[in-house]
Amino acid sequence: MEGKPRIAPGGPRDDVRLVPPGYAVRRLPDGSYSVVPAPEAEGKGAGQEMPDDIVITPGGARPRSLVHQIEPGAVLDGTDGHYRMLHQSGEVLADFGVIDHASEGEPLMPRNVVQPPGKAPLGSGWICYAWWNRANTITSFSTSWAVPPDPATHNGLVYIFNGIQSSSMIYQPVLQWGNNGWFGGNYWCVASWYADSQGGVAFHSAPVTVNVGTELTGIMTLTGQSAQGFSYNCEFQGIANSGYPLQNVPELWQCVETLECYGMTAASDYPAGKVDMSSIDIQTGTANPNVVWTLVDAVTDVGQHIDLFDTSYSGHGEVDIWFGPSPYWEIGPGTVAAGASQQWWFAWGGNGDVGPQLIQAEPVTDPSLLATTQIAESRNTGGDLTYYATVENQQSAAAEFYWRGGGR
Amino acid sequence: MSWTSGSGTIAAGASTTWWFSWGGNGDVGPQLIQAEPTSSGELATTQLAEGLSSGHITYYATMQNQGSNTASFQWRGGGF
Repeated sequence: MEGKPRIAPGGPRDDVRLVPPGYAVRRLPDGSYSVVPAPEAEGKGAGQEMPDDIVITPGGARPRSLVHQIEPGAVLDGTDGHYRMLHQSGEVLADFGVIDHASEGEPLMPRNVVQPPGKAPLGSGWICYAWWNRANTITSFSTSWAVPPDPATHNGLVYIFNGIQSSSMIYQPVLQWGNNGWFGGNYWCVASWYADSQGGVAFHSAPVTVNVGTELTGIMTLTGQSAQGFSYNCEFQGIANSGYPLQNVPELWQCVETLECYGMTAASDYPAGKVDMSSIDIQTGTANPNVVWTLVDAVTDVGQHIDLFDTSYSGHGEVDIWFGPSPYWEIGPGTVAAGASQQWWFAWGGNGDVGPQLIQAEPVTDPSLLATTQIAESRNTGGDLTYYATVENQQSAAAEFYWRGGGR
Repeated sequence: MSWTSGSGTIAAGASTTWWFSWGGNGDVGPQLIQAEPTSSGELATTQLAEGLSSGHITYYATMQNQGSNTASFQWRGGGF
């Protein structure tokens, strides 16, 4: 970026960067330098204020100098690993240097989340997420969700997104609550991000404010594939300038649905209820692949969890992310063959008595119809209670399901 | 949260299945649904079911009139 030379030890320099406490300078393969978090950052402690020059992006803490906005209408080009912002005419608007790309292996996130300095009372990073690795190149991935209610208290930073990632980069249409040190506040906004690992460079579109209840659709599409790499687009459907095209980058091969948070101090820093990541549609080539989500509850300190709701992957798929405990218990999954019945038993600690329980089978195979035909209790000679429920599959295909229940 | 929905009559010995749908993805968690007689009679709720279709959950309840006369009823239910 253009700038007035500064006088540093050793004389005038074009590029002088602040290395904040807990960060180190890393030399990149092309000879350039990057500011990254130190392996064991010092100076962290509860209640410590966030340094002004740190931005908490999706993926965690980064020096502000490595966070770049892609201007509306511009393209982010990664030809040969050298990243530049290009005008549609091809003119170079900014040169961001080279980004290392790892070969396909472990996905970038959440193993490379960089925790911010200081320690919040509650867990941070990727809280709950679902992931699926493609067999063939992902050509389209979309998810719809409604903007949740505002959190009751305003200490935290909340990111909700679907995304596609590789071992090096993640591309994601992100809903944000809170200030990340660069933009945002006590309101919801959306932006698309393309970010690398270990507190490295991150690119985002201009943030756009959205209202509670607005139905969002985050969509990523493959727009091209050549010897130079893969080209994608990422945006919130129908929201102008909520994304930017990306061209000539390594393939992005893992789909994720994620709740990511920082600075959470209490359950009230989360929205109430849950967010339904719905209408999931994944395509590889022109087909809908058989998607099997792996669900991960990484942080559960206020009851956060992710549930599978609909295993469909051709427009009706859904996973639900709860910001706290659900009002009923859930056990599963199970699978029941077409026309078949299954009886399950449920046991709790102590003498097992949790009072009368409503227990029902919730289908997650779409379409399916499951009847809960019997609920029973038995007491053994030791005086312990066990509960039983029977599910009957009333359709002509096997169905996956969860048990849900509760009492008063 | 308890609710009431629908009303009707059912002949002696007959069975009927009703469906119940909510907004959004339709999911309101496990629901206890029972037929309440609003005239003299004995109604058994014999089956509860959940169906998933096109990303939407629909709840079903089946009842049987176990009395000897036609009965009036309404549905009542609730969850957590």
